[in-house]
Amino acid sequence: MIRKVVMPAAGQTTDVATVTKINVSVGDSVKKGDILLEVETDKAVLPIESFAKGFVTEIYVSEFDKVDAGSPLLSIGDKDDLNKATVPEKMTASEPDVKDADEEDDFIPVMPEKKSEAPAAVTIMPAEPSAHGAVKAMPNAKKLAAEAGIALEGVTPSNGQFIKASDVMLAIGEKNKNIPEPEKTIPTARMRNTLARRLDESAKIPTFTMTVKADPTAADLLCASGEGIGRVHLLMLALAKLTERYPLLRVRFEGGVQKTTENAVIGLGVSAENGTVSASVTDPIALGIKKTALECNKCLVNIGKGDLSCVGQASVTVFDVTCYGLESLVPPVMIPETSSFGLAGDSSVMTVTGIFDARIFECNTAASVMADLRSLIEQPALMIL
Amino acid sequence: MKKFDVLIIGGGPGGSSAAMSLAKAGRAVCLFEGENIGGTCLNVGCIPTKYLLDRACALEKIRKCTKEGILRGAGEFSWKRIQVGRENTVVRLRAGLEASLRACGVVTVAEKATLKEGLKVICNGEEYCADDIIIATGSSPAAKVLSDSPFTDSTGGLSQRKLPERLLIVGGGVIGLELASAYRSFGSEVTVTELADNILGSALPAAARLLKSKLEARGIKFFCGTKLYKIEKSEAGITAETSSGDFVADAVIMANGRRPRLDGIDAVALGLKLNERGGIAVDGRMKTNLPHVYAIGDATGRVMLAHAAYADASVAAANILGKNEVSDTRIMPQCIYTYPMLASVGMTVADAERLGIPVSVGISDFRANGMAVAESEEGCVFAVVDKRNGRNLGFTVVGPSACELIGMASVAVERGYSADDWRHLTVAHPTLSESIKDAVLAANADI
Ligand SMILES: Cc1cc2nc3c(=O)[nH]c(=O)nc-3n(C[C@H](O)[C@H](O)[C@H](O)COP(=O)(O)OP(=O)(O)OC[C@H]3O[C@@H](n4cnc5c(N)ncnc54)[C@H](O)[C@@H]3O)c2cc1C
Repeated sequence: MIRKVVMPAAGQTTDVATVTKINVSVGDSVKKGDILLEVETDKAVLPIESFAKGFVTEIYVSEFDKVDAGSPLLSIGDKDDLNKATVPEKMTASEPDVKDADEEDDFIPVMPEKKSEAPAAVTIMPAEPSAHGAVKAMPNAKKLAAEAGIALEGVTPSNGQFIKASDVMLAIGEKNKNIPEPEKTIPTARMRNTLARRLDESAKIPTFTMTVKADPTAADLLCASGEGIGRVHLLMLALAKLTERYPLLRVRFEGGVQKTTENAVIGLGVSAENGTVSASVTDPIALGIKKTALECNKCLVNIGKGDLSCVGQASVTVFDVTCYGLESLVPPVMIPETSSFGLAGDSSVMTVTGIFDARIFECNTAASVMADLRSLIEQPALMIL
Repeated sequence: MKKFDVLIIGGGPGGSSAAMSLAKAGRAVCLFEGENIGGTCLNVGCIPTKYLLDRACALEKIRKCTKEGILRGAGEFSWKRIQVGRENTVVRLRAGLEASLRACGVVTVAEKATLKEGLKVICNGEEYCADDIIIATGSSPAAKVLSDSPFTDSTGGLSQRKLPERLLIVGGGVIGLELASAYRSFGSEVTVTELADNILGSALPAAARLLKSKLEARGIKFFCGTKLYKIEKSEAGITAETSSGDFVADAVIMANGRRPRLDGIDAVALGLKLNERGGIAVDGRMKTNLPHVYAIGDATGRVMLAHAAYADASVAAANILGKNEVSDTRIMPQCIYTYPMLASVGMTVADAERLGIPVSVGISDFRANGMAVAESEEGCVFAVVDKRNGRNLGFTVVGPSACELIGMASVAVERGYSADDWRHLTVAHPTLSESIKDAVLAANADI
């Protein structure tokens, strides 16, 4: 009988582990208690022992694979099973064995699965610090360290062998701890401090801005269609619409990782007592302009009362100063968001200024966003399409 | 020695179409093909990529319907079945082509041939001679893949046994972009590096930028101006060292161009002249410097497209048959079957500027086209029109069915249609073709 050896639950905090060593090959005979492979969690290295006597019939993982609790690692059977299990070997030929289509097939979901981590993507990392000697590190650790400006030499590998992303995260934490708190002469609210620190970080990222002027005729007609609807709500809808075409608008860039929010969550910059916060509205397109306006106005009232429950993680945030008749507004990027939009103008023009995180957006993508934004504002009917 | 009227080396689009037209005209033709009839195009080029891209597009449509709530759950797809389908499509077309060649009376020899002096060919120890010879040996990928190479070429790229989770494509030309688009639809994380500053080289800069932004919106990452230093297997997968940093992927496809293939053609020994691209030098009649020796298709290193090979074949055959024909490459549609597609024919604005022709550009956005809206597709048509007389000089289409639309546009360019001609032409409604007409009418010419 073939029995599968699965990844045991490693501990309360960990659900993923990395296979670091495989001690057996297909066909090896093993006995109870033999160490088949080793996996590493963020806490420890776990030896996976054989629970039975038999032969290794199949190995499902390779070194450095990530495995979840419960996922099969290898299977053990008796000698007869061994012959059965070796059939798929011809699958390793470089050409797919297309004639043999009826054998078992791996089906792939058409809709991309939600991954617990950001998509592995093709990882970019700066050239290896090989000149500094042998600092062994996992590629994601290198990438993270490079992005956070941390020298790998200063990071201690928790497993004593190579540096993992979690080690770098720790080092980033340490580094941030060492940043002295700003001098306090007047007591500053904690929220203002937090917001200030974020804005400070935001000022350090490379950005570029672009402005478009749109004819507000259609927008104003729409605004007139309901109580409390403003140009800014149309802008929010337009941005939500554009996230379909430009998923980049949904990217939050944090700790060197790009995360795409599931829905279009559009934030509205609102001045609260202790700083500007982003009141977020999820999926304005589904809500429609009336409900979006209603939501925003509710948030405004609540924030005014000190109730911050509607402050959430937005994909992008818009800031509106239309009522002042100004030429334009360049807003800050509310990191980890990667773009913001400032709305200004007067009765004859709507001016939208986009500010983009240059690490994420290419100029021409942003330009295309801005041009499309103008079309949507000028022809809101296009949003229905 | 076996005697024929014409010997043709290479059975790709060029060689096999020349063989058929000559055989139909009553010539005794012998065609040598060392690998598979149909050549690059049918076996490892146009056809299998289009199969993958068609299925990729179907998945995109399903995703759209699922997002719209029309489908409750999108289901699962089998990569393996797609591979089987690709193979079957190739097999079916190859059988069809073999039958057509037989029906025309072409003698095919399934062996590699070597061209000799004095209008002779040696194949399998046997000597063949003829009055005319056509070299149609095609091209091969610039990257040489060995059994232990950490990368593959476009041929291996079509037949990946396992769907790569992370795919790196080196080269942002047509082949690289098509593979990138297909694999993205199948769910791979795709990154494309390109040595030049823009994808698709210097051709169609504006359309290339537009296409790039559309592909980026689908999640394909581009790194232009990127030099490749090294590719090797690593702990994390396959690591490519480049001037834009290191990339780690599960598969790397080298799509960095193709070179004319001169297997069995010893140019030096034969005194055969080559051109600056390493292809066989030909004149407008497809004649090489050796009397009665013609060269066509990719082997000449000129326009590496199947329809260019067909056009060359037709000119070479006509000249062998005693008609004095010169090749005309003005109308050479260029199609990229990505999602969205890009197709172009005739002059771009830059081409016209170079020639000092004043132009006007008409744009028609698919958002104003009923059919495109019904299909929930986006795109646009650019028409380049001679400002002085309204004649159509060129078209570029980005969007669904662009590669089909360009057929109609090609006729307009070839015939030099004007806005007036278009006004009198009734185009069926609703069709994407209406956008071609609308783009022309949107260009304001001084007439
Ligand atoms: C992935 C990919 C996608 C492509 N997509 C498109 C597309 O969508 N549209 C398009 O127009 N073009 C496309 N192309 C290009 C197209 O395939 C080529 O331009 C076309 O095949 C050229 O035809 P040919 O007859 O000149 O040469 P080939 O098709 O290369 O045929 C040459 C044949 O000659 C044989 N041969 C060579 N030497 C000898 C010898 N000494 N003896 C006997 N036989 C010999 C070879 O085995 C080969 O079969 C694509 C190419 C690739 C690689």
